[in-house]
Amino acid sequence: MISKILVANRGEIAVRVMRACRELDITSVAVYSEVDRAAKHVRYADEAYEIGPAPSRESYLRIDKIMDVARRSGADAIHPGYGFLAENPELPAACEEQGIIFIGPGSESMALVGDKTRARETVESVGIPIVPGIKEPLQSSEQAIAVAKAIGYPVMLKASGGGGGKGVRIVENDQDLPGALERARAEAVSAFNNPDVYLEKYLVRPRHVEVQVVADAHGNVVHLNERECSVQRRYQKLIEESPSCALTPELRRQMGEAAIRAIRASGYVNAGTVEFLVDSERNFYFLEVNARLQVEHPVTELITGLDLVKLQILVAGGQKLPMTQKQVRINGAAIECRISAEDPQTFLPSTGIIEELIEPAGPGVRVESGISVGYEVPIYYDPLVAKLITWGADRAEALSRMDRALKEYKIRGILTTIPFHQKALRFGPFLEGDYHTGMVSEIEHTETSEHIEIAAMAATIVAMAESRVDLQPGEKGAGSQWRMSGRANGGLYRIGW
Amino acid sequence: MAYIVSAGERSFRVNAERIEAKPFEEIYDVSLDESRRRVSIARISPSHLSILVDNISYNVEVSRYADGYQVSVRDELFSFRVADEREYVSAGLHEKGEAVVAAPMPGLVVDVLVKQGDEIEARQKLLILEAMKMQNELVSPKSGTIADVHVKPGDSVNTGDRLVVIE
Repeated sequence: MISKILVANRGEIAVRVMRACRELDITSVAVYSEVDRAAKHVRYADEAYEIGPAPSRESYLRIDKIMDVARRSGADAIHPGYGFLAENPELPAACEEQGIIFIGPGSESMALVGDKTRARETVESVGIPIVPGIKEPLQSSEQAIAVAKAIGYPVMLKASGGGGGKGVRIVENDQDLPGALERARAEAVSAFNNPDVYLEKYLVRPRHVEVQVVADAHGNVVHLNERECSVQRRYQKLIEESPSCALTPELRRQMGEAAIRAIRASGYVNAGTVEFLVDSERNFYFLEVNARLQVEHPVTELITGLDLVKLQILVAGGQKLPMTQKQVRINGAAIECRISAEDPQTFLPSTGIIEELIEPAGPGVRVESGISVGYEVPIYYDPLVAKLITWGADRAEALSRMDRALKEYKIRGILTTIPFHQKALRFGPFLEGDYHTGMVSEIEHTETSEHIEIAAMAATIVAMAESRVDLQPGEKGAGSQWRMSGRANGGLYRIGW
Repeated sequence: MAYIVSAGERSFRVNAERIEAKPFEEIYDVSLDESRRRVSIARISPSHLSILVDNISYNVEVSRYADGYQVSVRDELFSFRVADEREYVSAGLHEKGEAVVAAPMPGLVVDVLVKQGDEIEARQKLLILEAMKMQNELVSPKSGTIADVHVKPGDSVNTGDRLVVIE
C-alpha cells in the first residue's frame, strides 16, 4: 500500500493531488524552487523540500533532485502532475530502478506514446485513422518544405518531446517554414529540453475531442467518455467541456473503443487521454496520447462522479479498477474555464502580487487554485493559476452556473483570462455548441464609444487619486492590502479612499 | 491639469475637476476632448466606481496593472495608459518619426536580432522575449534605422521597459 506520495509539481495540480492524498490518509511531500517557498502547494503539503533556483531546468525538471527528495523523505510513490516531468520517461525509469512507485504509466509505454512518431505507427497498426504527415523528427528546413509540398499547406509543426501547445507553429507557405521551424525548435528546447519537431497536415475547422481512459495492471481498460477542448489559442486549451456537442452516442462509442484499443496497443497502465481531431464530416483522427493526468480532468470527474487521482493511486498500487465500462455513466454536463495570468485580450503573460482574491462558490461550482492573497505570480512557470469548473443537470445549466461563477470570481494584482471567458460564454456559436478550434479568433472585442469614454473618465479619476499620494512608504501605519498593491506597482500608494 | 488617456491607437484628453464632495458622492466636471459633462461618482471600493452621467448608471471596475489601468464597463474591457499632459509632451512620445518598442509583458530577453544603425523594414523581427514558457517575437512597427538597443540576451524586463528605439 502507498503511504507517502511525493508530488513532483507545483501550483493548483500539486494541491489537487495532495487533496486526494489527504482523503486517503496518505502523507504528501512537496518540492519547491526558491521562489515558491510561500506557494500554496508548499503550505498544503505535510512535508516540503527545496530543489533549487527558480528556472524549472534547475529545479522542477531535475530528476536527480526529485529522486533525492524521494529517498530523503521516504516516499514510496511519486505523482508527477501534468507538465514538467509528467511525460518524461526518465522519471518512471528512475522510479523503477529505485523501487519507487510511479503514479502513471511505465517508462516503456510512456516512451512509446510520448514519441509521437512511434505512437502514430502503433495506433495505425490497430486500425485507428491518423492525420497525414511525417512521423520522424525533421532533419532540415529543406526536408520540411518537401514534405509540406507533398501533403499540401497549411501544415503544422509540433514538438516531439511534449504537448501543451509549446513548440507549435502553423505554416501557410514555403517562405515562412524555415523561420517557424527555428522558433518551434527553440520553444521545444526551452519547454522539454528536446529540439525534435515533426510536421503534419493542418485540418481546417476541426474540433478537438479527447477520450479519458484508465487502465489497471490486470488488463482492465475503461474509458470515461470524452472532453471537448476546441476552445484553444496557440494550441493552449482555454475551455473544456463534457459531453461534447459534436458527438452522437454512436460516435462516442466508436471513439471510446478506439481509445481503448490505442491504450491496449501501447501497453499503457494508469490514467491517460487519447486526443482526436473530429472534422466537420464527423471523421475522427488520432492525434496523440497524453500520458498523464490532464489539466481538464475535473470535467470528467464531475460528470462521472469518479475521483481520477484516487483511481490513479489505486491502480498504481496494483489494485483492480473498481468499475466496469457498463458502470461508467454520464450525469449532466460540466465545463471548465482555465484561469491564466494573462491579458484577456492579447493573452500576453501578466505577473504580480495577488492583492485580493474572492473565489466563487455555491451549487455546482468547483475551484482548483494554486494562488492566495500575497502570492507573487512568477515569470518562470506556466501562466495557469486556477481552474473554475461548473456542473449542471444539462449544458445550459452548467453554462449559466459558469457565467454566474465568473462574475463572482475576483482576482486583483494580475490580469487574468476571466474577462475572456465571460465573452466566450456570450458568443453565439459557443452557446449553440457549434464551434471549432479557431473560435477564439472569431470572438469580437466590442467597444461601444459611450463605454470607452466612461472608462477613460474612470481611469483618469483613479489616476488623479493615485497621484495625490504619499511617496514615503515608512510614514504610514501598518499596511492595508491597498498599500501592498502600491508597492507592487512602483511604490505608489492609494489613498483618497 | 489634463491627462492624456490612451488605448492602443486612440487617445483622449481628459480634464476632471472635483466641484463638490458630499458624504455619498463626489461631483466632477469632466472635459473629454470637446465634450463637457457633469459626472457623479460614488466609490464603492478601491476598484469599483459607480458613475452616473445624465442619470445613466455605470458600474465601473478599475484595476491598476503595470503602468496602466484595466477598466471594465458593462461587459466591455479597456486597457489605458494615463499620462499627465505635461509629462506626455516632455517624454517625447510624440517626437516626429521616432518609435519606441516597449516590452508588452514581463519576461526574459532570449535573443536580440538587430543592432544600433541597422536599417530595418516594418514587421521585421527585433527580438525574442520569453515569459511563462512562451517565446514571443517582437516586430518593428515601422521601417527605419535602429537608434538604440537597450537590452541584451539574458536581461529580464518588465512591462513597459524600453527595448529598442527606431527612427
